[in-house]
Amino acid sequence: MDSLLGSRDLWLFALIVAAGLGSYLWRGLGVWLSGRVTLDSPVLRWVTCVSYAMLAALVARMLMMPEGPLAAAPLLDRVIGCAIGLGALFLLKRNTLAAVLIGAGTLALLSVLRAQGWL
Amino acid sequence: MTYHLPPPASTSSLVAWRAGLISGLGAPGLALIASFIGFGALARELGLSLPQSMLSTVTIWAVPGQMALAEMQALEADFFAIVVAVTLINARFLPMTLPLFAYLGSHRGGIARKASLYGLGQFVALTFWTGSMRVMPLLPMAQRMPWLYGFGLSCIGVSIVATGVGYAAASALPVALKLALVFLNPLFFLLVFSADVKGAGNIAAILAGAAIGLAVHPFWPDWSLMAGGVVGDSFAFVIGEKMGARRSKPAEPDSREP
Repeated sequence: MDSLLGSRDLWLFALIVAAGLGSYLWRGLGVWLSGRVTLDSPVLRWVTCVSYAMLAALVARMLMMPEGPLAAAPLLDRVIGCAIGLGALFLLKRNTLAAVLIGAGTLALLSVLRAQGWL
Repeated sequence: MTYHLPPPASTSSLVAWRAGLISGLGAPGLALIASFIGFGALARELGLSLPQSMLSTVTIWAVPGQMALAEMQALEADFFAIVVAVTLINARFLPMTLPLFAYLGSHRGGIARKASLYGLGQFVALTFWTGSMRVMPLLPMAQRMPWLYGFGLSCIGVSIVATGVGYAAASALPVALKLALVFLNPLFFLLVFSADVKGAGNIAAILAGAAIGLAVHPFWPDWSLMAGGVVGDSFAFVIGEKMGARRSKPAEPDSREP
């Protein structure tokens, strides 16, 4: 029972709360500023760009240099999954949900084929 | 019409709240379920506990920030580095919150009015925002706040349950399906970038962010996202402004009054 809440657990809980407060900063600031500033200011455009660029850095890293189970899938399989997903997106008139499921399904299929020794 | 609206003549807040609540269980709920099942599975694989995974859905309430937290803690990154990364990756909430809250009229009022506005701010995230921006112009002023509370609560509620389902599924499913689940979110954002992002500046920001993030990661894992984000972005921002490319402007509310 003494290790019910190890220090790593507490650290993670504190981290999740602190990251939530950091995220709320923008939401609260947005509420406060709404109706006071115009939407087309360079500062706001810069802030939006930071967000996009960081998300892009995160997604690129998760696809190219993943942690966890994705690391076990060969880079080639991950690239094929992305390519099929992208192809499906344009063939299916931009139905993102269906395209994501097709791309992820492709990766699962490749993994099964490899496990069976067919690839 | 994917979203439920209260009858226009209704003055009952409860009716408007319930219409919002039901709206979150339709198509928006489906997208959230897929996304948070993927996050739940990823969180387990990267070593978060079930309560931690579900709590992050409430506090951070946006998959990109939650993925960044799960990834970076697995890399044993510094506490401060993770908080800064999650905070910056969520910076897009600021320009999203502005036009949405302009629909709610004046902030004047007592403590209760302020508390309900700032409380509502916590719900702002992509799916909630897209649906709300679509519905707000269709509702009279008095129905807007209760509708948003209903919609936000069902969006978060559905997502908390989906996080738990994904977490449980991660151990029960065969390896191939688990792989598909953790692949869902990164692939989703890749596709969103490919399909939806407009404007030379934003596209440059994405390419530069990805390139710099990848290049810096092996040497400086704690801060590679920030390097990709801030350096890549500033570079891209200058390009965007220089080219005079007008980004697609965020939609201004067409009517602030009913």
